[in-house]
Amino acid sequence: MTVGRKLFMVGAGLLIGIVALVLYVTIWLSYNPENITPPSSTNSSGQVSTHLFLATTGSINFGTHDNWVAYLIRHDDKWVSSTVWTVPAHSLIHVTIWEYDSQTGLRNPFLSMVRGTVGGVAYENGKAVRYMNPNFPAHTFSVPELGLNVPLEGITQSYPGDLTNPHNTHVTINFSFKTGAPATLHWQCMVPCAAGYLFGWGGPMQTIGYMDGYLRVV
Amino acid sequence: MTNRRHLVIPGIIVAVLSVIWDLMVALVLNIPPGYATTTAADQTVTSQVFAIIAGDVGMAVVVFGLYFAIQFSRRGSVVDYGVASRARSNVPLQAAWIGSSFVLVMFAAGFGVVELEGQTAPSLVVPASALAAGAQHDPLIVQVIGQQWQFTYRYPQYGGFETQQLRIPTDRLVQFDVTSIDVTHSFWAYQLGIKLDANQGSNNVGYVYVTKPTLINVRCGELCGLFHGYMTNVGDQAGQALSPSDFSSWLSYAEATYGPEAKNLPRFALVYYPQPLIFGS
Repeated sequence: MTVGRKLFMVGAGLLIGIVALVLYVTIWLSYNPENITPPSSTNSSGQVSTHLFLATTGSINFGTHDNWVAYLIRHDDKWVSSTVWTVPAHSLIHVTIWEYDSQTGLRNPFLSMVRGTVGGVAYENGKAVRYMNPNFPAHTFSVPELGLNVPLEGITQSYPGDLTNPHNTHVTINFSFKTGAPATLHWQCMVPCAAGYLFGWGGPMQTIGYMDGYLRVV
Repeated sequence: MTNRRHLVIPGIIVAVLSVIWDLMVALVLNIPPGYATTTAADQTVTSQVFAIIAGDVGMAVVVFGLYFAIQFSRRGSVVDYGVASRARSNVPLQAAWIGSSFVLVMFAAGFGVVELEGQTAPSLVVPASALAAGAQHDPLIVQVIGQQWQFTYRYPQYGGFETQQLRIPTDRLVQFDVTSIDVTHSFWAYQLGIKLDANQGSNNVGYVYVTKPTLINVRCGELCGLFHGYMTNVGDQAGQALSPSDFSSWLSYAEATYGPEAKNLPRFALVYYPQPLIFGS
């Protein structure tokens, strides 16, 4: 091989390497799962608050994994598939969840207790709840870094509506919690609700965008 | 310059640097994990001893290497190629080299075995001053339950209530019973100097004796899934080792607050096999 040919090969290798590196860095920097920032408001006493309006569904019905269980968030009058939400620091977060899924039950009954909410209580269809039978939750909304855990009761025949059409049947859960200093927290469901996976804990339980995500406190 | 001086000069440099390094390790640097428990103190001393030995040996290698590289690679310097062969046949030099290596390796092995043994039995974890009072026979039992992605803690001697944060007392032997209800986790309580695997169907036991109040940062030490990195008790959620009176107060509060809920928990057991065993709903 001539010297010129060797130089050409080295130059070509370097060029390919640099292009690959630039592509990698660009993709890495631009990776940002769809981040929803619900509007905040400030009351007369200066308390900042935000309202998260969420829903849980047994199957998301679109995308690559259309039969996966998922959380959705209401944003700009649309249901959006995003589990990365930005909320203000040192504020009051009101949460409303429409729970459409059926009961699965918890592996650890301790997590069927409401913890970390304002007043240590959640309201299920308007009724105060501090604990529920560990077999009843379909999901939980949990932020372990805040000590927050709220079980979400699954739908049953006892609730009005048509179980064959889950979009017509849901349980409404309301609660509030407080955020602290800026941080990136994770939130998750603690119910093993990933049908068809080992311990019910694979697939949507291990993928951002379904049963867990980030709470960006800024 | 004689050959002996080529040993003496770098030797003096190594000795001076080693004394400085050793004093820094012993007196200045904060070597983890600290002195909150007898176990942690043992680990800190072990780390100091090995930092001193490794630092001194490393210092000697670097200083002698640099010295000879500079001394014998100068342009125009006269190299005595007979030095190498004379070194190989120098019995005292060879004996010193092999002897010092042997002593270092045997010291490391012996020290490691003794220190490891000291972390495996309650009677070795409890300080000598508390042994006479029988402290090794009265441990506080705390069950650590790992689950994706949170640790929870049960206190079976106090009604079996469960909490999200770890609280333990100082001046009392604490026995951790560690298990998991899903995948493999690892209970790593940094300031306590303890790290125990949490396996489903297995009860892994470890002991600590806390000698002074401290915050306890807990992290999962076993890659356990998507949010392994968030499986922590730090910041506001950090655990605490409290003085006996503070722990007693917390216990009263916890029993009143969480005790009534304990009836909803499964009966205390060393391991749990909750449903569903295989699939989700």
